[in-house]
Amino acid sequence: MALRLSTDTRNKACDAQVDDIDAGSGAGTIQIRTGSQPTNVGDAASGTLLGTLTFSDPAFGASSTGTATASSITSDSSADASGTAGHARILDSDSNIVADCTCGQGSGDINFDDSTIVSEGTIAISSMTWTQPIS
Amino acid sequence: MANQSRAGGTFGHEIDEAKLARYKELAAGAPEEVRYYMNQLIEMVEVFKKTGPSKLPGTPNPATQNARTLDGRKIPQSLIVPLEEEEIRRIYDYVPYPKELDVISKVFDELPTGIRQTGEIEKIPLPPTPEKPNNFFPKPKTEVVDPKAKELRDAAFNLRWWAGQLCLDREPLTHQALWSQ
Repeated sequence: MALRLSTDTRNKACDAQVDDIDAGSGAGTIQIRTGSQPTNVGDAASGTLLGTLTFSDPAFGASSTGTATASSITSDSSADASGTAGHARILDSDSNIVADCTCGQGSGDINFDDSTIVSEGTIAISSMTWTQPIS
Repeated sequence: MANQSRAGGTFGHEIDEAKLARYKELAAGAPEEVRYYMNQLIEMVEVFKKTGPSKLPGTPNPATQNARTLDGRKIPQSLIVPLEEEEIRRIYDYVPYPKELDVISKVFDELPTGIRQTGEIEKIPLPPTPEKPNNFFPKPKTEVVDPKAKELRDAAFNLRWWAGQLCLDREPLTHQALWSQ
């Protein structure tokens, strides 16, 4: 039988992770970039920065059954560059990396209705959940 | 992070007659494969614009349901308006299939961006909170280093965005239309 976490432990773990996004004196961000995720989470940024979206502060509400739900995410209403969203990087306001994930259209960790981003256009993320799995 | 709910949307730009003419000029000077796909997509837009917008009712766009602007306002609620069946049939031969769109994206992704990140971080002010009276978010600064390259890439990807929307059988909801609501 695999190692399994209790709901209470999952909630604490999930809260600790999303609370990292709120570190610093400002709000955490999601950078949308072209190309694949870097090999390691802590590697230097890769791809072209297409846009930056901003979390609320705090970014997420309290976890329930191991899942936290993001509060409103501020759109980027003037994207920095044109390209295909390939991956995203989540940082705190001191630019420390918290996590990264894939982006796609109909797929990926962040699922855009259209992963094509146009410079000075709008990028919106309407919903985001963060889950600590049971095992 | 698989199997978790994270949804978003992107909004390109309106294409009027002047912009279409400029896109044709840019395509003429582009690398062969880029020129080929840009010309295809320009023709697609021209054919699409021969008829008026769909009269079908729209449904709330999930991409904008819970998003907001920098000053804390809710982003305008947008609707996804489906194309009429007759319109879908009319433009069918001009709209790329999803797999073709993937190929087009890969070709356009090879275009130089014309910009670079300066390495500086700009602190963009945000509404203060009780915990963060000097609230901000860090935005990496970028600068345009090759305006011509940037213009070509922006044109190519705007056309690609239009193709993506039409491939989804919906009226393209542009950045301009979104923010004019």
